[in-house]
Amino acid sequence: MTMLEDTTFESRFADNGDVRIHYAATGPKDGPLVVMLHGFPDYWYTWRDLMGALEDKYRCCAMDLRGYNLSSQPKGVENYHHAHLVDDVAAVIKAEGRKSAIIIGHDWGAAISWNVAFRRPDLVDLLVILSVPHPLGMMRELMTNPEQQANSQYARNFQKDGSEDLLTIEALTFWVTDKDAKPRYAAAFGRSDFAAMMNFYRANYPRVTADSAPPAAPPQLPKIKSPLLVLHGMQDKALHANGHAGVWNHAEQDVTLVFYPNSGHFIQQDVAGQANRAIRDWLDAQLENTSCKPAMSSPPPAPSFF
Amino acid sequence: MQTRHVVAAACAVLLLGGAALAQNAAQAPAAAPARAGTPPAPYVAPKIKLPKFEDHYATNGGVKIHYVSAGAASKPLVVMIHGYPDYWYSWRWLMAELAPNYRVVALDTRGYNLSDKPVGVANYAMPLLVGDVEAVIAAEGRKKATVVGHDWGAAISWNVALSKPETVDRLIILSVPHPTNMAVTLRDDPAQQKNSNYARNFQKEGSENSMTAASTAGWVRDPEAKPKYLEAFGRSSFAGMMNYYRANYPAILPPGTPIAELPKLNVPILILSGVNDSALLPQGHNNSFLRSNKDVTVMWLPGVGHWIEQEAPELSNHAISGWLTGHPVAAASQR
Repeated sequence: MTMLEDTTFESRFADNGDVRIHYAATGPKDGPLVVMLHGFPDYWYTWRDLMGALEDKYRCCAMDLRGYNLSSQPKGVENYHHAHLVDDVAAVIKAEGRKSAIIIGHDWGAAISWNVAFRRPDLVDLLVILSVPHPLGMMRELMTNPEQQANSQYARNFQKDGSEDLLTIEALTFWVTDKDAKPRYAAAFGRSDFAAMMNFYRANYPRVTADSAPPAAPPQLPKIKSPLLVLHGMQDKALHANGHAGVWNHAEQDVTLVFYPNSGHFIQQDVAGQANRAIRDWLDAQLENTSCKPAMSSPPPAPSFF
Repeated sequence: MQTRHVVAAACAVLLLGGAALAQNAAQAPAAAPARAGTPPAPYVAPKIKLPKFEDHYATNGGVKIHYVSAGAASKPLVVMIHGYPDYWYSWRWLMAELAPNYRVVALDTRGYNLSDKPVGVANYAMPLLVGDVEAVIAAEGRKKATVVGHDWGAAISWNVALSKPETVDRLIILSVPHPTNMAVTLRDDPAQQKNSNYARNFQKEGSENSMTAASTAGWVRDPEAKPKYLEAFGRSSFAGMMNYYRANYPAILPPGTPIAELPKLNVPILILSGVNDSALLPQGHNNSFLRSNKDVTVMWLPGVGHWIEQEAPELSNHAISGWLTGHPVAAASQR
């Protein structure tokens, strides 16, 4: 068993075709499975506090997204479409010997999590989203909200050819305030592929703008079938809180939104104590809900992969 | 129009990151049937054991307010305020959930059940309703409490928190938006204007004349509770119930009328909204994050209507008790 850095987390791998996904694991093997997906620019380590808050009861697996840290870094925009990213999540769930999991995502990890819920609802027991609105809410804001339009300019720049040439490890770790974490991040980004980071934007960031004609009919997406928790930092400069308005229209079960006035974009680190508590209490409450229990996947009888 | 269609489709594809899913979504039948249109399932009582309830009275300027308690007096105080047409018993399931860890008290608001029923609209003005809650908190020997309200009780709770911020440490709201949200929604949202027509009718003179205990308890589905409601409404004042609307229901402001911002609260807020609530539409809660300097949590419950604490007792119990656990308050800080 390989342990990660000086943590108590195990280093594991899952395979999606030729792409190998690295993840950090902790918690009882028979506990409810939680898969965590980081965003840009980040890696599995962003979830360290949340893993600590859940590991007594939940089996926690925090992925390195493809392109990042110890996961494979395939070349080419086409390798970063949501379809592949969703399959990476499926591979981790399978590697843990399960059929489904609680999915938690932040930033790009949140966008992927929404897409897991749309494409593979069978994989999702519960859905926890940090910062990124439902795609239809995001599209509405991009078409109508000047603040969100201005906030999305960085993504337009990332989509341009050669944007990765402007990235440096120093620039990518600017947001990491934890002094102990900073060198770890620098090392992880040193192992990561900057072009891959940009390819998430090129392949998937909505190109809708204020100039797009309004849709004649609202685009349809499958409703979210699991209970949903959304956390948002009100100081988030990339994503406007209004994007979450009306999200309950797209859900079949209960939707809970939590807004933190003093948090920026990186909620799981900015207000780690509060956010981890909220996630833990919500997960525990959902497990108590009888309506939810039948949907939860039972742990495997024996490890089927390792 | 054709171009518009194409753009819409393109948007969907880009957002999803793949054409295949967009196509699937377009071909799929409309997701699960709307629960609003399906006939109600047979009533199933939650498997919750009710605690021992004790009766008490508090007094506010000569008006006696009846309230019921459960849980130890040494625990943090949670005060629950019902709406229309209801009485303290609306909170039985939530009281059962919280009684092991909290001192829970639920009042009969004035006009209802065993509380006094003063005559005249003036006696139902919001400051008096706020005073009734303060009286209950004082009767429990506290200076502040966690306040939970539904419907009119939610409107009262917002007003307790806004006008007497020193008496509230955590605020839990079921169904009724913040007064500013409510004013904006009533001004701008034709659907909410239409759905508030019932309140306009209630405000009319003599609206209480056609009310009976049976018609007023028509919404109660729990067979155990029904006779209790009939008894409670039999000794309530229908004019008192209507006076809440006459004295306090907000007017529809003309389009463009500026709506004054109220001071932000300094307590964490939990809001529960039934998506099928036809009296108070769920969109009224959309920007509730503007209402506090502390964290704001809004939970929307699809398939649930106006009577959240009785229609979805387990779901709302777990949500409320989990949220309270995550926002701890010591009993000593309330004295």
